[in-house]
Amino acid sequence: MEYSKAVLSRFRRPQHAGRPELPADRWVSGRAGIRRTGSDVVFYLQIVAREIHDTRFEAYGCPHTIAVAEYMAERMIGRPVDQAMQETLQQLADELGLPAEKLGRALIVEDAINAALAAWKKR
Amino acid sequence: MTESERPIFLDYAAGTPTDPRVADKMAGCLTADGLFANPASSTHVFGRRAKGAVEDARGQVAGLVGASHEEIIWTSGATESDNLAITGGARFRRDRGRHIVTSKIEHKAVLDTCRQLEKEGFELTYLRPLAGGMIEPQQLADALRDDTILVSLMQVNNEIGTITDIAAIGELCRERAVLFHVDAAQSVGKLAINLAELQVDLMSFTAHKIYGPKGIGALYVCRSPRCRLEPIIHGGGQELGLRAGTLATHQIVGMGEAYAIAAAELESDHQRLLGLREKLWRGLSALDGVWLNGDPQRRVAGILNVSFAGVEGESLLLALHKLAVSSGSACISSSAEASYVLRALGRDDQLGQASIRFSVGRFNTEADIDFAIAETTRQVTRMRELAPQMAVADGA
Repeated sequence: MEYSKAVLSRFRRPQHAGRPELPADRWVSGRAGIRRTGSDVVFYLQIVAREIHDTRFEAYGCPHTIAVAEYMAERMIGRPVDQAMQETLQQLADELGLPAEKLGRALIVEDAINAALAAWKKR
Repeated sequence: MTESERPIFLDYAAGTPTDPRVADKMAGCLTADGLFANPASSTHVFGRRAKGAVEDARGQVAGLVGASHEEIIWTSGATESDNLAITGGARFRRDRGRHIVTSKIEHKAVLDTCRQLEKEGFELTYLRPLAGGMIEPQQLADALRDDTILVSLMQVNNEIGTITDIAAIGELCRERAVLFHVDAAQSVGKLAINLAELQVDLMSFTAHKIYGPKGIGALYVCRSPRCRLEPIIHGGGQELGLRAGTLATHQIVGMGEAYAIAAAELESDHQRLLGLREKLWRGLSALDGVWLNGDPQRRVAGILNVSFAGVEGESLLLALHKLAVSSGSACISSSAEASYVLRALGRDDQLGQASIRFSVGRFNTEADIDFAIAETTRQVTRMRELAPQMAVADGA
């Protein structure tokens, strides 16, 4: 399979990968996907004064899954929490050069982000 | 691609570079000062000299596998050899029966040919591999029927490198006068083959997996007992009427030279490749969650197929971009589903997909293996660190 430069650079050198360091109470997290079907993503958000202050992710999945997670982790920092997820699926596909068969992977990352936002709202 | 960006080539089971000694011989068959003429042109010295080179090469191929000179038919490669053997053998014997036996883990050249024969009214039995990826003689004995006319099995599996006992299977077939075809694309030049002692009727060979050129192969057609085939390519009557078409002298001479070198160096190559493969396995198995695919003993020296737990297959393959390896088989690298042979070994889809076939060859060095171990360890560790801990729902 051919990969876009946008996917390759984020897959090889993700800047927001890994479980965040303690203290855990400053972070919320959401998880989506099922390992045995090929994707398992945890997204971490640090939200301060209703603004996304920092992001992290952990991902088991194809290069596109990892690239989408890294892309969203980059883009979401500094956004108001109620505008956290602004990108449409088509924008993600265009920005990262995702093939049609990988759009479902982007949805799993989006589900993990939404699960993290839901966890923050419950606090 | 600069030299520093060039990956380490560990995909010899898919295709090898042509040995420089082979390329030299081939170059002498192309231009006006060489053996350029049509080997069928018996009216002049140019043609007769080309014919002489073709026959010398035929002797070199026959010599490596213990066949006689006239039992070797030139083809364009193992795929054509498989087609000629299976289609030609089945069609010639169609009045005696319609049943053919092969296995689920054969190369596509065999499987797709068999599927075509099913459309022509033949009945196929596809044997399933047992533990370790083996096809055992007893399975074949159980599958043979009164109307079985042909059995086709590979000697060495291209994905996991396991070796099938073709001597025992040949005996079973010969007892029942069933034609036995062996695809030897992955075994010739790597295992000692003596067709004078084996009860094999047809055997497919290729050049490009043992340092010869692509586009040339051969089919062994046993003379005693005489094996008859219906040709599938018609034309000028070359190759005893079994395979029409002008003989490609340069390709044939290249294949002959590659086989002669293999005959001279088989034992030393085997020992060296075994050493490299064992070094690679020792290095990789120092990681946790690493599984060797295929029977640990009955296997060819050059192939090591390994599954890595806790990493996703596509990401693993991309992460290993500094190594030219394949995912199971070059022919199924694009498939999202784990290969049938790996599933038969009990690997689930995730572990099956996270499997890498490393295949070492004549031009690999100890330094290549050191690099492959270090790079694989680094990338598998990185991918595992990137992944979240297993969720309870996923069986952690």
